[in-house]
Amino acid sequence: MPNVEKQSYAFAAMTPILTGSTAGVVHAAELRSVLARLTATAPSPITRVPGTHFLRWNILDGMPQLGYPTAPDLLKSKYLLLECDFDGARDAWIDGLAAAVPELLTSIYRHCTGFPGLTDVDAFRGYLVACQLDTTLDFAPYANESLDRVLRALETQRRFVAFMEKSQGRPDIELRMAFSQLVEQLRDMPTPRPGSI
Amino acid sequence: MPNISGKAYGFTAFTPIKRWKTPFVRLFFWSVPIMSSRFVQKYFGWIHLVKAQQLLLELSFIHFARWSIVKHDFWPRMSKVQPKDRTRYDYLMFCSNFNGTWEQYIDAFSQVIPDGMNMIWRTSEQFPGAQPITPFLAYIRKVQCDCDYYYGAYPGATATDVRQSLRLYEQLQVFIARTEGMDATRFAAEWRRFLFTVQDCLGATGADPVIIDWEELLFPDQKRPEDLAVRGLHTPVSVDQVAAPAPVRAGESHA
Repeated sequence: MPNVEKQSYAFAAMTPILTGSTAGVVHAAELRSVLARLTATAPSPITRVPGTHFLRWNILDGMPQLGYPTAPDLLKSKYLLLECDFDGARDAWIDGLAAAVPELLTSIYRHCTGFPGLTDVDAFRGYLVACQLDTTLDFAPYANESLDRVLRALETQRRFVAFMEKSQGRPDIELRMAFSQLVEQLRDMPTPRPGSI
Repeated sequence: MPNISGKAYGFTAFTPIKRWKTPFVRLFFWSVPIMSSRFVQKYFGWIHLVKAQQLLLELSFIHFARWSIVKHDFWPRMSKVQPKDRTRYDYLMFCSNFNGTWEQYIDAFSQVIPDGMNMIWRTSEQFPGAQPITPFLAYIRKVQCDCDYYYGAYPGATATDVRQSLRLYEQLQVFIARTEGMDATRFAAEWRRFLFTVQDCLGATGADPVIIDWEELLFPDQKRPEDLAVRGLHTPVSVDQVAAPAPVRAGESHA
């Protein structure tokens, strides 16, 4: 299945945005404002969603208009594209997303048509799956590596390079002892928090 | 900038395809994994287009990328009050997470794998070809859709850093197991040998390079409100639109 590459899943869902306004709030504009505020939030709440490598939300106001001789192609609704790459199975990830950032999801998807809320996680999962856009070709060069493993590898690399620079010209016995300490530190090292590297 | 997360850039593009061409696009994408298999590359790698497909999958600056075909009748209708959308064309959606600036990325595509690019987008309407670069860049500008939010879990690392660190991580585990209990002199010799083997895995992660908005730096007063409105970040209120309060003279009152 093209959505799955080894242990990595490439997910995309296009949910229609409510047209017009409710109580003076224009849905598409408010949604854009919510996402802009989220961009300014550090650290990102998405760091709490397990196994998420990359995630994006795009608001599609319409399809690109290339002009003559390509005919104009207009959409009646605007759409919110969620696109992400994560570890493991789709359903477990959506459940993890709903559990990790429920307020954020509500603030975003309440501007989308048919959003069932998050009180029933099955309904929310069904909602996203109904709007899923399948991948035709996925390119993931390290698809067999989990997020935890990538983060640990990057932190190991950082510590190893620092150790290597410090250990230049050391006597053999000191080098041996210092390396043993490094090995212990690497073993006891907690997995770095997403977004911290 | 919403398209950027540290060293990663989130690129999204939609290109229109005439519906009758869609099966050919699917066939092409179906063939890519087969063409890039070791067997085909070994015996048919001399064929230019077969080699081009392999090059497409070997770009070192991409974390994740995907192509999806958005069929004309795909658009989900989630309530009865929502009108059903049906586009005239099918669309090829391309999403990529890569390192570097937008121009570098497109330039690399154009220079390194023009045939791969042509094979993918040849069926898209008005695609000018990957070379020369100027019309290609103009086309990409037309079909790109900016991110409103973009997140990466390791913003300080490039795709090359990730690959190198994973290789180092793996080889270090082997080295640790192999040198356990080894005396200092032998260990020092092994250590030097090990550094030689992992010398191409010692990248540096950390803060992303500073991206300077030269336009804003050089012409700070010429930032037009409508430019900001396009980004959806600010209410487009021009300074000229805000009426200055009339000066109040001594002894006068507004009443």
